[in-house]
Amino acid sequence: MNQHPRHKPSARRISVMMASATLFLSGCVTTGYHDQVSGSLNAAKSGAVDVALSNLEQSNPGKDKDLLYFLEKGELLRMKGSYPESRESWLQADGKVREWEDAVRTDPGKLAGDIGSYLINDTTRRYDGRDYEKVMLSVRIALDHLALGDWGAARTEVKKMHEREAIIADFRAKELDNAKKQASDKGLQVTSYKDLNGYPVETLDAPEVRSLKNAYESAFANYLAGFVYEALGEPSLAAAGYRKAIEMRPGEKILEESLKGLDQRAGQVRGRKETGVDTLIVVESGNAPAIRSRTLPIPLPIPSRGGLQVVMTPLSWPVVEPVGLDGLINTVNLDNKPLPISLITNVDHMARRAISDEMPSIILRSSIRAIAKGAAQKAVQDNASSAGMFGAVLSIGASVAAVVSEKADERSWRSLPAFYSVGRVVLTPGTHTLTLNTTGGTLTREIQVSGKHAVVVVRGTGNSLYLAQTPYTPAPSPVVTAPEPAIKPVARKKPAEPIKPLAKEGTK
Amino acid sequence: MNTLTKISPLLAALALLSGCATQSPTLGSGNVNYGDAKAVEQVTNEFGSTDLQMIAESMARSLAQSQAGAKVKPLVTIAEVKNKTSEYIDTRSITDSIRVQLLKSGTMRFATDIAGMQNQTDELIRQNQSGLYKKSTTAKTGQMQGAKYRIEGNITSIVKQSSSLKDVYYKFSLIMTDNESGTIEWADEKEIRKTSKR
Amino acid sequence: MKLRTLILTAGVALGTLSLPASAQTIASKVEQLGGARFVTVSGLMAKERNGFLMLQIELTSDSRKPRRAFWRVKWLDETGFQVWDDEPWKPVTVQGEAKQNLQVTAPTPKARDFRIQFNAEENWHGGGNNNTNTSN
Repeated sequence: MNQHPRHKPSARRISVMMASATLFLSGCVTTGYHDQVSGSLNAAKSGAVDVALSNLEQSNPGKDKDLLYFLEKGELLRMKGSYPESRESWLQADGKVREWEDAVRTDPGKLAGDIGSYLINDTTRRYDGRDYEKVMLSVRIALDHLALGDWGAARTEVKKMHEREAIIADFRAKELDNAKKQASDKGLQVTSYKDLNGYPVETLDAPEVRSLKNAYESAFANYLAGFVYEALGEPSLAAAGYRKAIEMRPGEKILEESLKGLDQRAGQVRGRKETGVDTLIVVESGNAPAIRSRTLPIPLPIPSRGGLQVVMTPLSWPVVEPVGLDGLINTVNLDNKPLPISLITNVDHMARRAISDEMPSIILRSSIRAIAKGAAQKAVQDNASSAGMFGAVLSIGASVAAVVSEKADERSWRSLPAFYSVGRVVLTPGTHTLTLNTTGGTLTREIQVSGKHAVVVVRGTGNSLYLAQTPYTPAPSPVVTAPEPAIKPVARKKPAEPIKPLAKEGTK
Repeated sequence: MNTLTKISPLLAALALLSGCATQSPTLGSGNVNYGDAKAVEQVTNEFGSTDLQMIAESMARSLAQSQAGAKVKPLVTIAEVKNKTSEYIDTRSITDSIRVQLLKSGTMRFATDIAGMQNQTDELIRQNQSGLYKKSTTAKTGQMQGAKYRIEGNITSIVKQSSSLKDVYYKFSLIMTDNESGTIEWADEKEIRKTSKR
Repeated sequence: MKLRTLILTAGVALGTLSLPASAQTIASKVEQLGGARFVTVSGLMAKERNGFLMLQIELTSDSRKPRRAFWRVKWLDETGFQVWDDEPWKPVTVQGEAKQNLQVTAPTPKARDFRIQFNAEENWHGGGNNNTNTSN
């Protein structure tokens, strides 16, 4: 019956070979992103930012650094207090996101629908960043600008963020349309994660995830935008920021009061001189969730001798590991008095929403890839059929092993804070103390505020607390000492007459 | 394929010709285009350049008309235009355009607005109090002119969205109030409706 | 208040305004960009109010569907010099088989004459060039 009896291995040996091949292949790729970055994250949690940085360098030895490297590095440098370097790293990351934006702008169809790109495993594709990461990057660059006292640049970054959000919205809509169309063209049965047997649907279906408008707009980003605009005397833009923040996070008193009091404050700032420092206190805590690969079978129409055949094929899918409220800081005292803060943005939810929004395309890409590989095997299979049953078994085994060995894309910006809480308070210029209840116990930081507006950001991670604040300039002494040009409005004699009536007009 | 081989000598000839042709004074690859700044922008139905231009134009024209008969050009200040939409609309950019057009038409004069007041007072203080300026050239304090009128307004929007349609309606209204009497001397509004299909 | 009116109807000039007297037809005042198939400028009136030139432009659509058109005015002085920057193009939708009036006031009293630039979508004769100025 068999013409090549010498080459016939036993069925048992085949299965052992196959299994070991699968193991070997998956062994190659298991050093997922989390293992790479966890050393860095843990070092940062214990306060050893320099160790974290050198860890990051070690796991990125190559010359071509990717987006994630710059994202993580920027965050670590920010913790360290090296704002110019942090900004530099993030601007590099921003350049990479802009490349993606340009590609989307010029040819959105190409990114969304290029079949060729489907044949590449997600993990080997260039990492373009998840939607919320692209937007959060702008937010963090803006915060670096603020820590350096450059409000104008922060405004530019905020504006860029709005434009980026519009691009993402447009791209996602097109991508979804494309995924729907392709899925029906290819006769795919499963197009939603809900149909994936065994997928932890609850992580993506949770009400807090579904209630988000999308995966990238956040109340915090908009509130910060509003604050920056307000500080720059642009209440009409500030109103939009606050309003959007409220839309995304209805019922938060701090947000609602910011909008309500906007006109009155705008008048105050322009008019009377001594109104204190309008201070935005941002409490960041936790870490963005990890995304892990999980293997689940999906029914796929595989072309075979008898036409399309539905084969249950195990493929890998990204699953967000919800972080819960691990590490959330929600008790803050300012000068020994409780400071009301509200958690307004949770990246955990945004990440889950992002995966939920990406899933239709991920399912499409993985399915097409699996089918293509299955189809490629068909030729082998057909030839092998002359070799009898063994050939058929081998070919299917090989194709399945190839696809199963692939892992879902686990990459994500892990050092990004998960929780963003805000408080707002008018302070007298000078030094104040901030006390926070963190996982590392009660920690105290001195903050210093000056000017009309200030932003104070505390970042808690593990046992560590990092502080970033707008630069402090001590109030000018009331007496002019040096004969330098008194550009500051320092009164040598009594302020000149017209200032009062002017101020009055301003308060209107 | 066939056509390509046919036209390729033609293309080569064209390329040669263009080599001799006068170069336009440009640099770079030519992937960048300067467009018509006045063209109708309909990329998305968010608030855009055409909306800004149309609003500024119609408001400025209407205001200019209303004051055309006056013997003395009225002194006006622009207060704030409130943004009551949830879109990031830079209303100051609109009022700046309105002011430019009114100044160019020569129908009104403008006093420093609230946003510019800080710089104005800073400059006055510097000239008068630093002791660095020649007395005869310093701008005197107490000489600023109060505006007879102030212009203020708001922009609102109504957005309706279905799975296939997005409809946005903007209303920009502006009023001019006599600062002394508190009477509203002029008011106008401009409506814009934009609809887009997905 | 000075109030002088000029009515221009197709081919007939009735007017007393100090506009250049030469051939005051609609055609002489309208720069049509591309042919006119559906939407045309069918009437034109001008008057002066408070020293500003005011125009009323009547558009007529022969189409059954709503049609979009784009227009703007070039403001000129007596000698034909343009006295104002190029206006933004303004979109207008003319409902099916309707007439629609557009009104516009000159931006400056210096404007004594005008040209209307007009372009309508899908407004060509049998595939002639649709010289749209609206694309970016």
